[in-house]
Amino acid sequence: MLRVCHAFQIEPTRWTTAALFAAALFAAALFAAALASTAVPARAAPPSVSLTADQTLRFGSFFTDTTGSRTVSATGSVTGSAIVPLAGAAPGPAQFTFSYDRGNNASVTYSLLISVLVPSTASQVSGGVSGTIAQFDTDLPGVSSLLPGQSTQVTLVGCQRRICTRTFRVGGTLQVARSTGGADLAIPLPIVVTVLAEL
Amino acid sequence: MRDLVPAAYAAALAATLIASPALAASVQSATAQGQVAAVIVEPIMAVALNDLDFGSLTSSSTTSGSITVDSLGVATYSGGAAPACAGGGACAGIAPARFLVSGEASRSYMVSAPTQIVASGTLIAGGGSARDLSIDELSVHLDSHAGSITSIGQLDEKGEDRIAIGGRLTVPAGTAPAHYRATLTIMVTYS
Repeated sequence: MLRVCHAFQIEPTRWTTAALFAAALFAAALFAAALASTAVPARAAPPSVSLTADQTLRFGSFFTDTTGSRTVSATGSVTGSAIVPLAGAAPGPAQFTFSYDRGNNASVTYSLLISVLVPSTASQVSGGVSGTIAQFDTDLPGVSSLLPGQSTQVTLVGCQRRICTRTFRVGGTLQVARSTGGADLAIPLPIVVTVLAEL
Repeated sequence: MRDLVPAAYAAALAATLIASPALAASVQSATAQGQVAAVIVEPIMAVALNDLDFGSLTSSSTTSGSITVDSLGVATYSGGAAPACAGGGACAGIAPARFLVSGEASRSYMVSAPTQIVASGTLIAGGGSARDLSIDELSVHLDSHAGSITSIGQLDEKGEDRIAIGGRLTVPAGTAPAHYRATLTIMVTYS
């Protein structure tokens, strides 16, 4: 009996020790959480990304006998091969505006690692005219070309506010093949931007 | 009791994740639907349908003259120049130059043509070179403007227009019998 009683007395003691250990850990966790709340201001919202198309990639008016191409670079320079440019709307690159809302107002300079994707080749056939853009270029930092179907990673540095905005331009080379007539080409140009990491 | 320890570890781990300064952003994507625009125009071209033909004429040995062919093919002689036929025969060929312009329907275009050209001749007798003759007062008439003289044309709904060009050939006194030929080049461009 004595052993039994002793056993009964010991068991609660062991339970109390373990509970205290656990409680201490939990308290530490809560403290750490409190510290965390102090170190990083509370998020007002989860991060979000938006991308808007501001300008169409404009190749202007031109004619070609059978095949030709016209290049409008991201910087706005225009060159052509086997085409005759015509007066009219001025050629120019597409423009997009990327915006990242990190969700809080912390005044910390940060960078963003993003990927930019043109999902597929931009092309259109209209009557006897076909137009294809197989390669794009952009003025995003460190990137010279955008190949359809291939993601390109870009680091945007110097973001200082909750909302980090960058405007970038996209140019390309339009290859035209013509058998008869002319055409007004209007080719969709979807751009997908993904934020991979906030650095 | 045994559950308390793992729970506490989990809480601590959660706290650690929240406190991590290296914030790993969750994957966020956005898509914008841009567009590419281009206007590909059917090329414009001019095809010669017939030559500016002054026909056959005679010249005076003492008096200079000229022949003027208008856009309808009507010939007018002056001075020492006269037709070498009596209303038929070689005179039947007299005609203005005619061109067919084709391109994109309803588009306007510009015609560039010289106002003066030089015809070089080959002597009938002996085959040598004759003295050059001047052709001037070249005038461009467009069907799209009811034949009026203008350099701006308009392609019709089929993408066509027609150009007629008349001019004046000056024949100096004593011009030797010869065959004369000149090249009349025009250029059409969209305006």
